[in-house]
Parts: sequence; structure tokens; C-alpha cells
Amino acid sequence: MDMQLPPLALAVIKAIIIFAVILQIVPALVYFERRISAWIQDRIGPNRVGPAGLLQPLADVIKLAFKEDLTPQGADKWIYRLGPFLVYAPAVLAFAVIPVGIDLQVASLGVGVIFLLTVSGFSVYGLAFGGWASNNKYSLLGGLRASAQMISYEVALGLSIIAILMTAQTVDLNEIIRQQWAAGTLGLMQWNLFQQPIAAVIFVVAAFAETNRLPFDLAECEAELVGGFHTEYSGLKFATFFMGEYVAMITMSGLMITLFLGGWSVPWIEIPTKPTVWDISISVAIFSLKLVALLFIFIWTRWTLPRFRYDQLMNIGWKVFIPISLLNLGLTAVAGVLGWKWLIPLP
Amino acid sequence: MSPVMEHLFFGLAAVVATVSSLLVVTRRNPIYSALFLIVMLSAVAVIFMLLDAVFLGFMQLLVYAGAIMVLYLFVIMLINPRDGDLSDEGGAPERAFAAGVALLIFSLLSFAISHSQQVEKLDSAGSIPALAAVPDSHGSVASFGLELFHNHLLVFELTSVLILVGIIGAVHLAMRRRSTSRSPSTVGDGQVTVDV
Repeated sequence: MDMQLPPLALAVIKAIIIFAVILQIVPALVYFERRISAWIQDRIGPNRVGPAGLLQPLADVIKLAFKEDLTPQGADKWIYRLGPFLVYAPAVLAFAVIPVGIDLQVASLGVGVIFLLTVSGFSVYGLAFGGWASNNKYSLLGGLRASAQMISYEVALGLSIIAILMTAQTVDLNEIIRQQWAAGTLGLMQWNLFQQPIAAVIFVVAAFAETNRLPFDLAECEAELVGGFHTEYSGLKFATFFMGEYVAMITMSGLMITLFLGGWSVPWIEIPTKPTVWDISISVAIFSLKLVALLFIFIWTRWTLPRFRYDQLMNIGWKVFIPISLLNLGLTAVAGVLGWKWLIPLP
Repeated sequence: MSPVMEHLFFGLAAVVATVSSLLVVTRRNPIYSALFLIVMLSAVAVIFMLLDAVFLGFMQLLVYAGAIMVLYLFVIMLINPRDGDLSDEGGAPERAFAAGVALLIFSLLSFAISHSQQVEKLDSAGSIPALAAVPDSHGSVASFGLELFHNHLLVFELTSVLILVGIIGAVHLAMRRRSTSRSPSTVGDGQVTVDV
């Protein structure tokens, strides 16, 4: 960019814009989730507040803000209050390193992917502490399930990301995106989705498990645990948990786009070496389109698949995904040493 | 980062680390101890990052503050001890012994640090000289990997063997427990099987 701003001011402006946008996506996402779920289940869904129910999120927010904020008796007050923030803050913070346009992210860290893994892993503490502090057996079971589930699937998630880092030979997310670009429609084959298909499948499943979405929402599991770790939460504390879940979904989709789907690039548009504001806008639009598509898949899955049983969840995690991802890592290493491009040759 | 900011952040991280590690050993509720241990490990990670070891700092966060502490917390929550469950362990002799060990480690460390060549050099210089600029690659993933897999390969491999032994031991213990608890006579024996 031509504008001469001190780096700190520029970083603050970028942070405010991107975080404000994410905050605006959450209510829209909730609205779309409700409309799409209604569509899938052959219902109408919210359509009373505003045209086509578009003001429903606003009504939801007002309702949540005015609800009585209860703290159950015997709850550990400090940790009870800390819970929702520990879910929400890491999810938002993790988004900081995701490039939403050509070299456009809040923080350009040398250790991009590792930062994201670390920070998003911290949200498990919110679930665990919140569940424990509620002094309710359902909450405690929800918190325990959440922590066991997240430990199990974080391993598979990490291993699938490492396979990508090995093919890319860098941890810089923008560089990983540039490497996935090749001209022409066949350039799509350069995406890591096709270069590392096993890692991609494992990543998607683990991402669903990490964000506690169906079919892996054992931590809240209405049928067994009332509301799981957030049974006792109400009002804005509950809303914070809720928003944390949706932001985590956005962050995971962003990471998925960056690592497997070519990020802010498409094969038909060349990446400019000196991007103008126009180029950056186009790349942001490309990223947004991909994000919308992935979020739709998240919602679609939730309203289509049944929930796993807990023992199935653990078995799949430890006995299927971790061995397969280790095997994939080994194959990637061998291919790297022999100088092969994994599976599909370059066009 | 300017030296003033660096000192400020170091001071902050050091105070947080010291205070929270004190809180770890003084809290009666193990959940609070775990919480403050997470805070302490994070503060140490900040110190690593201030020393330009960004990758190491994040690994500290990912592995210790992230993964290992989740396991600690998981076990504490599974047992879920209440205040009355924990007896006062050890009397005056044990406490004196513990204090003695802590003092010994502290004095050994401070002796080693104050007698290191680096500190003596700094001391003779009178003031802290400007640090030599470190190359950009310092503390990066690539330089870390090179150091680990070239210069310290043997130690690295030995450590992995050690971890493997630990894993096999853990699996063995878990398998032994399972084979005894499977027979119906022991399950009915007032034994609580935890199913989360």
C-alpha cells in the first residue's frame, strides 16, 4: 500500500476492521443457520421480524442481553465468569493470522500456523472450566467430554497440518497460498485438497470435532446432557459461549481455505507481485466466497448427520484418524525425500 | 521492540510467572492450582518470545500450557476432589525438607548464573552493552530444526526412545487395569466405572 502509516497504527486499524467484520458475520451466520435448517427440515424458519426475518438476529441479541444473568449456588464464581471469555477470546485471536486477502492479515507472524493451533487449542479451557465451575453434574460431564474430545482430535488436526507444512516447506500462510497457485483450470490440481487428499479429509473431520459441531457435539448433546457445559449459563454469558462457537467455525473455515483451497487466490486470476487496492479487494472477495461455501457445508452437515456415540467418537479419533495421519506423514516424508510431488503431477 | 518496552514486558512476565507459581503451591483447590500453572507456563512462554525464540515460546504454549495442562485438568475434574477430600500432607519436617530443597536449587541456579562468563563480561563492562543484532532467521522454525536435527540429533533420538518407553509403560498399565476390571465379580464390587 502507498499510504504511509506507522506500523502500529496500521495494525490497530486492520485489527479493528477484521474483528468488527467477524462480529457482524456471527449474527448473519446464526440467521442463515436457522433458515437453512428450516429449509432442510421442510419448515419455514424465522420470518416474522423484519423482511424475510432478517431482523431476527437483532431480536435474539436483545432477548439475550435482557435475560437474567444467573450464577448457580455453589458455583465457583471466578472460574464461572472466566469460562465464556476463554472460549470466545481464543477463537477471535486465532483469526488474526489468517490471510483474508493478498498479504492482508492482522498479524503477519513467522510462525502463523503454529500460532493458530496454539491459540485455538486454548478454547478447551473455557469449556472445561465453565463445565466444572457450574457445580452441575451435566455441566461437568459436558466439560469432561469437551476436553477429552479436543485433546484427541487436536492430535489428528496437528498431524494433518504438519503434512501440509512438509509439502510447503514453510509455516508462512501467505507463502503456502502462493504455492497452491498455478495458471489455468488444471491449476486447481495444485490445491492441497488434491495434493494432500488424506490430510484434507482428516483436517475436515478434526475441524468439526474441534469446533464441537454436529456430528461431534457430544459436549452439549441436548438429548443426554441438557445443554452440556453451558447448562447453567444464561443471558450474555451464554451468548458469549455461543458466539465463541460460531467464531471458531469461521476461523477453522478460514484455515481450511488457506491450507487446502488456495486461500485468497483462484487459478484464473494471476497473483500480482505489486498488488493495488483493486487486486486486494478482489482477493478479499474470493476469500469471502470460499468462506461462505465452507460455512454452508458446516451448517448442511449439522442438519443432515446424526450424532456419534461417545465411544465411537473416541475410537475413530484414536484408532483410525491418528494412525492414518501418521501414515500420511510418513508417505509425505518419503515423497519429499525422493522429490516427488504427492499423488498428482504438476500440470 | 525498544529496550524500554522489552524491559517492561520482561518485568511483567517475570512478576506474573513468580506470583502465579506461588499461587500454584498455596491454593487448596487443585483446579485453581492448574489454572495458575497455565498462567505461569504462558508467562514463561512470553519470556522465551522476548528472547527472540518465538518458535520455542509457541511450542511451550502449545505443548505445556495447551496439551499437557488439559490432561492435568481432565484428571483433576474426573476425580473432582472437594475441599475436605485433601488431607494436610506432611508436617513440619516435610515442609522444612521441601523448603531446604527449594533453597538449594535457588542458590545453585543463582550461583551458576552470577558466575557465568557472560555475566562477568557484562559486569566488567560496567553497563549492559547493546546486544548484537540477531539475524532474522534466529529462533525461526528452520533454524530450530537445523539445530535440533543436525547438532543435537543423538540427544533428540535418545529422548524419543525415552518417550516411547513411557508410552509403552502407560499402555501396559492401562491394559492390566482393563483385564482385571472386565471380570464381572470385580465390577459389582462397588467399583465405579467412569464413563464420560
